[in-house]
Parts: sequence; structure tokens; C-alpha cells
Amino acid sequence: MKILVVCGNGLGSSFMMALTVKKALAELGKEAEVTHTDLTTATAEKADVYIGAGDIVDQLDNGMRKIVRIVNMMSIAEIKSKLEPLF
Amino acid sequence: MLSELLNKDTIQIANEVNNWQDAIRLASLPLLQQHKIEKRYIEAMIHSIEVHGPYAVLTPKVAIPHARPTEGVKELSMSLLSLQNPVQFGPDKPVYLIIVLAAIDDASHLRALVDLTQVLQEPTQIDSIIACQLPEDIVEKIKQYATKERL
Repeated sequence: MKILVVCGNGLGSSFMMALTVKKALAELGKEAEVTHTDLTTATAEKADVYIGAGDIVDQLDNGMRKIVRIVNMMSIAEIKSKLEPLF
Repeated sequence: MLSELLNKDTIQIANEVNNWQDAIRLASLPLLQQHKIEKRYIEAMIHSIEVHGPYAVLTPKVAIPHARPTEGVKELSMSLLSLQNPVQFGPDKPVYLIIVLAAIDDASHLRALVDLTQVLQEPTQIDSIIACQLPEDIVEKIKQYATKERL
């Protein structure tokens, strides 16, 4: 599975959230490829799951992509609960 | 690493600000005065939130405003403003800590962000930073939290 973490300009928040996603996956005992990028690049990149703040990932929602909306981007618990059903 | 960027010269404590735009302007002031960013970088951060929404509020009580390196960053730097009274970054998005990130490229700031993630993943650590009354105390807390998992 490829998980793409998306933020507005791909520099800060998406990287920090990607670290949190990796910790969440480790706690779940699941493996996935986790990369992070900005919104513009994300529209052209293929992934199984697009994850980020609602404001951001809603702009990627074309009815075809699997979108995961996160409220607290530093919460391992929230990310775990939203990723677990996808495996 | 994080505690080199966030030090007593880049950390401020204030009672309150009028709005989130003023919060970003005040938080950025040390970096502007130290000539690490240009004035246009501050407006770029504000513009980014106006366009994309308050996603800079990474976790409750904390916002990490930033923009692209090309929008007026001269040197990799960070600053922190701690507010005694929160400012609303969006509906139901009260923020006490504003951490300005000024990156010069895609990579050189990542080590500091690994440290910052350690600090922000624990809500009790965020609360104890907000409770600090002196910048020096915030410096100490950050040092302590950022390094604890690497010991």
C-alpha cells in the first residue's frame, strides 16, 4: 500500500505528519510506503491512500481517490484508528 | 537541531493578540529583526492560510505557519510565540503556540522537525510549554522533550 501525506506546500506539516503516520503503522504492525508532498504535486501522483488535514485533502477528492481526513495531525491514536480499517 | 533554532532570542511570550494574522506577524518579528526572513515571507505565510485554510493548526493549540523558501527566507530559522490567551485560527481552532518555520530548501530543516514532532506528539508537553512564564523555561522544556527518545 502506498500512503501519500499531503499538505499545502509539502515542506513542514506533511513531513511531521508522515513521521506520525509511520509511528502509527509501526504500532499497528502494518507496512506501507509513506511519502509526503504538496497539494499540487499530489494531484498528479498515484497513491492508494491520500491523508491530510480536511481542508487540504478535500481538494483531492474526485470520487475515485481514497481520502483520509485527519483533525489532529500529531495524534498517533487518531491516525491509527483511521488507517486500521484500510488494511 | 530544534533547540539551536528555538532559543531565548527567537522565543517570545505575550498576553494576547487581536487575530491570527497579528499572531503570525508578532511571532515572526525576531526573525525579521535578525534578517533571517524578509517582510514578504510573513505575508506569504498569511496568504497560504487564507488559501488553504487553517491546516497550519497541526495539533490542538499549536500552529506551524510557513511558506515556500523562495518567498523571502534568507536563512533556515524558526521562532515561537506563546500566548497566555488563545487566538482563533479558524472556527473551533484556538491556538496558544505559534511556531514559525522558515526553510531554505526541502531538506535542511527536517532534523529540527523530527525533534518538533517529538515535542508535539504529547498533549501534556504542549500544555507544560504553554504554562511557562519565561522564554528560558520554554528553551529548557523543548530541549528536554526533543531529545528524550534518542537517549
